Amino acid sequence: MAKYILKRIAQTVVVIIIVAIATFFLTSLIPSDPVYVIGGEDLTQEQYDAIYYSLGLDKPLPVRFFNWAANALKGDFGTSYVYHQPVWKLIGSRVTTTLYFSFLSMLISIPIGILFGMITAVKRGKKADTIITLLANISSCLPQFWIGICLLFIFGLKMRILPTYGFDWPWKIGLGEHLKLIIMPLICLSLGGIASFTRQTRSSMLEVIRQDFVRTARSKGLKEKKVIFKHIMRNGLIPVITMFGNRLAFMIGGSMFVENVFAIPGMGTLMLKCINGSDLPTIQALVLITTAVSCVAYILTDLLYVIVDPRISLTSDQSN
Amino acid sequence: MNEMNKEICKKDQRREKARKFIKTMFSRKMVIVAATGVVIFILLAIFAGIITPYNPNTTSPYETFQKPSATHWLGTDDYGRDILTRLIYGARVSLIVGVLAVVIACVIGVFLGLCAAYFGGIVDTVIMRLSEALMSIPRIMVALALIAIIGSSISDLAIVLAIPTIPGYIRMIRGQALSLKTSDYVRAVELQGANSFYVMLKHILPNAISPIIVMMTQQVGSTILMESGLSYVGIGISIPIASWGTMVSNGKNYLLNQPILAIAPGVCVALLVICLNVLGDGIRDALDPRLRGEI
Amino acid sequence: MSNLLNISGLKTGFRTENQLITIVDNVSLHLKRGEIIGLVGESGSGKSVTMMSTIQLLSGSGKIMDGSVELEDNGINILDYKPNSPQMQEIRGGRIGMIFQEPMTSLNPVMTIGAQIQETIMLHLGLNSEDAKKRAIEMMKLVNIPDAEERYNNYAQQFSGGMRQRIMIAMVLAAKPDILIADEATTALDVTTQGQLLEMIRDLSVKTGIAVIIVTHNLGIVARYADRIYVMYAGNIVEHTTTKELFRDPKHPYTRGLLRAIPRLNDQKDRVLIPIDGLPPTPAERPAYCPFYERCLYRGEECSQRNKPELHEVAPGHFIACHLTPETVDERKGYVESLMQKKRPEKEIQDSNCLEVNGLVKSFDIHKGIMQRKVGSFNALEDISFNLRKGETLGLVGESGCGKTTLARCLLRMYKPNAGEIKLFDHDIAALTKRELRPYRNLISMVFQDPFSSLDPRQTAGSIVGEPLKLHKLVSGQEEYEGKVDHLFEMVGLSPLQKGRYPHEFSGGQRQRLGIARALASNPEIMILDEPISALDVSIQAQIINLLEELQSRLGLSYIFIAHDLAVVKHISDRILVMYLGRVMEIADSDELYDHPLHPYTRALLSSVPLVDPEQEEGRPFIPLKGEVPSVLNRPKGCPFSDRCDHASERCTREIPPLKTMDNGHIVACFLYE
Repeated sequence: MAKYILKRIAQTVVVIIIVAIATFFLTSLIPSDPVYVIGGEDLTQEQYDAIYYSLGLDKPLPVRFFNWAANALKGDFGTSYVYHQPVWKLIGSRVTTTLYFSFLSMLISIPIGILFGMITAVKRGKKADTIITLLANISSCLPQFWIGICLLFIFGLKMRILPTYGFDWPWKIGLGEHLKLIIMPLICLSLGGIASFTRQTRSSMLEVIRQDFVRTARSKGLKEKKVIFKHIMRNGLIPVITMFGNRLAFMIGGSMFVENVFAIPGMGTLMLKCINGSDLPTIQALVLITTAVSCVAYILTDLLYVIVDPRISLTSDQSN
Repeated sequence: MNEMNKEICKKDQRREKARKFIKTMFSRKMVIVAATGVVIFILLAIFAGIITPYNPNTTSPYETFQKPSATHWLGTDDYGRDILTRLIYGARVSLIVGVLAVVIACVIGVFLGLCAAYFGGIVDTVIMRLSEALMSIPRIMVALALIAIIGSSISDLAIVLAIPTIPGYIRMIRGQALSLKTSDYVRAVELQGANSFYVMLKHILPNAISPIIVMMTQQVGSTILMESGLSYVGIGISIPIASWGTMVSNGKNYLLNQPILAIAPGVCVALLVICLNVLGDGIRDALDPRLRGEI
Repeated sequence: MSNLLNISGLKTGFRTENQLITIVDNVSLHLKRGEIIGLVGESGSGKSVTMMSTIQLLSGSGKIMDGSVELEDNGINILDYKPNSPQMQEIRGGRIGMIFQEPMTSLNPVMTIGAQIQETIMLHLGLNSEDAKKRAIEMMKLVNIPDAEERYNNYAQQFSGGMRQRIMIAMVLAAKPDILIADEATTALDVTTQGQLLEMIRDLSVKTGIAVIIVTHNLGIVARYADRIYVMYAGNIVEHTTTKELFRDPKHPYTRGLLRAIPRLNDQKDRVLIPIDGLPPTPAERPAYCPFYERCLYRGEECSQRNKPELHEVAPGHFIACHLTPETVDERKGYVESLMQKKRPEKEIQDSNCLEVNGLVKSFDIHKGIMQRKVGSFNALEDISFNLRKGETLGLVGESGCGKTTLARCLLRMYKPNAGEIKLFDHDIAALTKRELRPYRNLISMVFQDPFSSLDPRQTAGSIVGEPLKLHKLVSGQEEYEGKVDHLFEMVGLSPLQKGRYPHEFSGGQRQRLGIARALASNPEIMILDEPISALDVSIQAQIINLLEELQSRLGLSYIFIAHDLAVVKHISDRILVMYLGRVMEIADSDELYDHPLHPYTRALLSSVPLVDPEQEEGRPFIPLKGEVPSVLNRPKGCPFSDRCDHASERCTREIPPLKTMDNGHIVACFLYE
């Protein structure tokens, strides 16, 4: 068990190192000269050289990578080309905002999705199943940003009951205002999650229902409720758990669209500005941080998985 | 004579197989509707120039924000361009990007996956570690970083959207190949002294093809969603070209006086993706021998 | 005495897209307290569905259409209860317990086995969780699970197949049911484990008075353990009588056919198997007349014109469903007996060896950790030596995990042995590289166990069979290729017209014929047959056995026949090699091995095989094997069998007995015969 966790952590470290190398070298391919990005287009040769050397661009790429990596380990990702302030300062509050939305929408979509999934699996072929499955299928096909715009149009502009943009923490503007601000973005973010958890739960529950041990449970004379909750559910939810990490990563990435619609100062909006402004250090930092966050999510998922499914720790303990 | 009979026999069987496939695929009404929908979108995309009398990019300053009418069925936008025309041309962008990205990802993924399974050892380790790394970066982040490097023309966008989905193909084809490698029928061929390359191409790839097709049909939809998203935030298809994402983004500014400008393209995206997904499910069911009643 | 269970006129169907297809048709059976009855039939005969209907455990599309099930003749038809009604749930598990075929999947993988047994007890006996746990441990001890207290918290996947089936039995019996249904419960297990379990069930039945229904396709099991037998065919019960009567004087043509088709351990050397031709009708195609008509050797015209025969009494306590009168059966007896006169195909065993194996060792490494570091290794095969003469059939028997398949793979050079030699016509191929092996590949070929997974589903039958011709470049030109493929099809009894079909369009038996044709294509001298008939139905098995014998005599092939069914091995083999934990225990002529087994392991193995003959079965000793089949990972230091052997001395635990050849050529590895 402990071995398994160590193994997973080691794997993750390898992955993050690969990502770091790839991000650094690939972003250095971005076809715009960082010196001009920082200093503007009208530079004298001296000014140009000064910035050039201060960025260490005279050194070969591998050396720059190691310098960058060594600083990154300390949390120092350099100075933003566009905002002219340390990257860590720039992204700190924005990362928190994005993660806040991602976690909240996970909290909403997991229980609702699983509940819907179970209803549809148990009532397979009945009306409830048809309707929920249809809705889930449709909502997983809707573009997130468009859902946002529709909500904004209806509740913000037509009915005027919700504010159309912005975000702030509850301790600054009060819980009521805060809720009003986050409700539409959350619906946007969660809808897709609910849909995919519903579909996954449904299919894995249906898979389990066909298994032999469910027949055994029924042959013992267990009540149908007990068969579902004690035997089917625990087995059926295991594949759903494996989705957690994946989905969180998806939500962190997808929050960009929602942040854009509702003008929320998060990681996504920052990333967009940096791409348009060729802000290398910030792009590198953002890619690395999102990767790290999703890796942590994957590891936590695996841990949960080990706890719920005794088969994992059994096979990893037994030689193999 | 005998030869001819055999030929006919073979052809009949092939036809029978195709018929069975089509029959199962279209046994559900939903799939027929979806397939029709996809075909309509494709036809619109191909014949956009013939179908609509307007040019998607010609501005007419005197005809801005017209309400839907007989001349402009869905009205006009802020530059007086016909909204319906732009929607039709937008289908072209979405379909090209979607299909191209999936083809690119599939070709690269299948090749690398087979390499990993075929060579094993260090090749396998390198390919799998790299694809793990790629998978652990959120898909959209990969796309954004790549756009910054490569650019955002239609073909660039296809490549950008293809790359994050490659690991999926690699993993699937590798898994298939590894499990088929230990199957009895592959063993039987290997015992006859066939080399692994022959086995890969003749026995493993054909049997791994249907999950790939299923995966491809499912990826087209999600790629189109992603493309529209990128275009919406302004780093996908650049402004003058009509694409659904940019139209929504533009329409967002005029929600109160011309809501259809933002709403209609979203409906188009949703419709196309729904049709593609239902069609994909239909193909999946038709390819599944269990559902075809063969086993 | 009143009946404990009385099923009458049961009719069950399954809904398909547009119709309800009858699977079980008008089945009646009864069971008395303390009795063991057998319900025998091939796959698809409806025997399992009958049992599932009894406790209303049918899957979604199944529907009970008619009939009644009564417990203790109390006049209450339990089929009137809804499947999920409290009454039915009380009966299920509480009155009637059931164990299933797949020990590997029948227990919940994420619940400890203790909790699963405890659950049943709390449900039906109403004990609190403490007492239930106590009883669960008692039950585990009752079914001989060692260290019951500690293993209470283990999960199913930590047990072997036999142990899991014991757990299932403990779980079912814990609720004190009156009836135990064992639905092919021992089919997936080794013959020794099967013997242990069935003996245990019989003992428990005597001790606790529980009545047992054994549902199986294996006539040997019911011959040994059942008091009465019901034979099912195509959804109907076709014959019912006491076990002794059934085997002494089978009356239904199907039962007679079955008994003519199966090999037995006590067969004469020259016995011919008479297969039942054709296939049973699928449920959707069952005719309105007798469903066995097409395959019946005694059939008369009147049979196809009359309705389906009803079960009726033809002798006291002996019921059959057949229109034929004893007189007509007697008339056709001559014809059927003329079939029996047929000789087994002549074969010629030469003195020269086509294969000689000396001191073969195969070890596998154990890897661990992230870097897959090698942490150790174990020998799957140790010091294997034997020879195969040209034209001979060598049977290879042993429990699962004894290395039979590893040995086959070494001989085929799918694995490279670590030591020893494999002489194929005096050429040692044990250490050759892939390239050097090329010229030898066609000499030795293989037929696989599973006729479904061994054929590429996307290739036509013709190209599957013809592929070796192309790979070995045995043909020049398309015409010769087609001709040879046609010839191969005819050789295995298939029509060349079926060349363009895909594997799924063939039946199991036909697919195995395709597998044999493919193995023949490269013109081999030796064929390795890895359980080639164990996936087939009893009536089909004889067809394949006969085909193999015929091919051997025609082509002068040598066979290595791997199987766990000792009766089949004995029927087809000239000599038999017994393996245990990767070592050779005994090699002898098949009759000699059966009549005078020397090794204690062989004796135990033979005694676990039921004889398909209740009269001979009576008084035949059952030599129980102690414990579970161990793994090669913890093989005892001395003789591998020493820890389960009754005769083991202190020396056996220290030294490995060498193979010793007796005067009559009987080879054995045991210190008892020094």
